This record gives sequence, structure tokens and C-alpha cells, in this order.
Amino acid sequence: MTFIEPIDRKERGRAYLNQSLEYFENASKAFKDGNPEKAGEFLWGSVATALKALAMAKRGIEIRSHSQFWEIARELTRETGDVTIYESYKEANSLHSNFYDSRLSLDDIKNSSKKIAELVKKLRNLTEDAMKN
Amino acid sequence: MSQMVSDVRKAIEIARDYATRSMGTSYWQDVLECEIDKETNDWKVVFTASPGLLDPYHKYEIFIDPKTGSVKRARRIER
Repeated sequence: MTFIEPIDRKERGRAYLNQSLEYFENASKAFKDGNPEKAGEFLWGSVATALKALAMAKRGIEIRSHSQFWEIARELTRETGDVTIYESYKEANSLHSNFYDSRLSLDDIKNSSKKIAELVKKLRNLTEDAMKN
Repeated sequence: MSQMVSDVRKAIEIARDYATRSMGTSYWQDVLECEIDKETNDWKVVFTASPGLLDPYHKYEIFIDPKTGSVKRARRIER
């Protein structure tokens, strides 16, 4: 495994956090344009990059596979005891699938977006804490 | 499987593998000491690792039999 210096972890973590916020804003634009698939994919991207930010800032780990996202989401839920992390993660993942299946309506995705916004906020706070140390 | 442990690299490899499998330390940070212990003549590996993504790092020590490569003692020594 490549060793990433703590200072680089913070920089990379910050870059992922910024990317996560940008994806979230893009999701809002896609809602306005009436494009549910794109909105869902941006929401998923926002969660995925927020998880990447946390794993990088806290441990210097680069998440490289989809299965690693699931592992980290489970682990965070176990460690914090906050089951909404895993529930919201699963919902974000279903939006990612919807990009290819187009099963969900714009309203379905809007309902999910509230939970996902909460998840992204929690992940961002955990990452900010990790970057302080 | 029994294996002679003749160098630091092998001792660390055994310690790291044991820590992950049996001590629940998913996140390895650093090796602080790795030498033959004068009292026991075992390899003593002191390292920092963490059991979880959000947990802090703790200090651990593992003693390894140099003749067989088996772990004789392992514990967390610092919170």
C-alpha cells in the first residue's frame, strides 16, 4: 500500500470534499432541468466523493472499488451507531443504479435527496474533524 | 505452518498479519520497535494501529517465537 503523508491526506481530503459539494450543486441544477437520472447520479457522486474524502483524510486510504464504499459505509454505521448512515448510503447507491435503469421519478429522487444531503453533511463534518488533527 | 524468523521484515509481516486477523486492528500506522527481546529471546514488535476508521491509533506489542514464527503474546499496551 502506498504511504500518503498526513499533509497530503488533508489536501486530497479537501479536494474530494470540494468535489462532493460541486456534485451536490450539480444535482440541484439537474432537478431544475427535470432530469432525474442525472440528478440521482450527481447525488451518488456527492456521497461517493464524501466517503473518499473521509477515508483519505482519516487514514490516507484511496477508495478504488465499489465494494470498498459498502465496507466503509457499514464500518461507519457500526462505529457511530448511526443507522441512517447505512440507510442513506443504500439509497444513494440505488440512485446510481437508476442512472442505468430509469425506474425512479423526479419526486422519488427528490425525497431521497433530503436524506442524502444529511449523509453528506455528516461525512463532511467527520472529514473536517479528521483534517483538524 | 512453522517458519524460522530471521529478519525484521518477516517479524513485521507476521505481526501485521496477526494484528489484522486476531486483534481487530484494521488500520496499521507504524512500527515503533522491532527487535529480539533480551529477556525472552522472542521477536518483539511494537506498533501503532487502529481498530476502526474513526478510532484513534493505539500502541500494541506482539511477541513472536523466532524458531517457529508463532505469536506467543499480543496485547494493546496503551490507550
